[in-house]
Amino acid sequence: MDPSRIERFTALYDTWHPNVHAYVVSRAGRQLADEAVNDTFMVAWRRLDDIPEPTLPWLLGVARNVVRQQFRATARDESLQAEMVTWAAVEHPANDIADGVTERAAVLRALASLPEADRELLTLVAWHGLSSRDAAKVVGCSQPTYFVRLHRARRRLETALADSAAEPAPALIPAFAKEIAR
Amino acid sequence: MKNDVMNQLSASRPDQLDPLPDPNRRDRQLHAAFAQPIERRSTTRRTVVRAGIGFGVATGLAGAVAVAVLATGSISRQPANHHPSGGHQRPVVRAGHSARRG
Repeated sequence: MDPSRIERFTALYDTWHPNVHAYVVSRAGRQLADEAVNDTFMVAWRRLDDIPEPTLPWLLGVARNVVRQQFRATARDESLQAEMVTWAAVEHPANDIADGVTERAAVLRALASLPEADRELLTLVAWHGLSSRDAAKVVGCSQPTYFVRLHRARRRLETALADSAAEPAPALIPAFAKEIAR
Repeated sequence: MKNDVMNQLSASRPDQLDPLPDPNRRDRQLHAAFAQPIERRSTTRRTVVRAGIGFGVATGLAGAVAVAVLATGSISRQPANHHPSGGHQRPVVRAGHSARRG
């Protein structure tokens, strides 16, 4: 096996593994993350000579396809719901009334109430640090289309946040509320 | 709303997204990747495929243009239909004159 190729791939793995892992966790939860990340880097190894610059949007695009093709939608949803329950549980401790913590919990609840597509558009920029150009590459649309979709998703998040602020009780989506009540 | 919602969202990024350091997982994933076959995409083959597609498109366009030219030419050779009654206009033969001269 070509040592320079191995070296190049190891450097790529070490550089981008945290980003790919974070993206997969935000799309499918930690239960499926290891397998999906593994499959993503398998594809990257096979096509190492074809990987374009910038690398991250390409890798996230592969991870996106892996998550969509290899895991059934229900398995993905269940894993992600379990993941978001832990976020809500950690970010919303029962006795902590600090404003910052409450606000974070409200934002996460509002995000959880949005459709999957909206969550992806918003988190690609806000959590994974992609520019709108790179995020559009990941999603597979043009930059103007991405801007329009992002604008709409942002409006929906604002509405969800306003709704959750209007309700003093935690407005978790039913599945999360059920899980937390256990 | 005081803060921009995107800033709020950025500030709410869960720590669980970041992977915990795990050397075993790293080795496992790297070796799983190394076991995969390498896809070598031949540039010659790619060029031939692209040239084939280009040739096909060009031939199709040329054929379409040729058919259009032939169709237009055959229509323009049809007898003119200027007579108000429709149909072909027959030559008028006046009294005392033959239609055929000479």
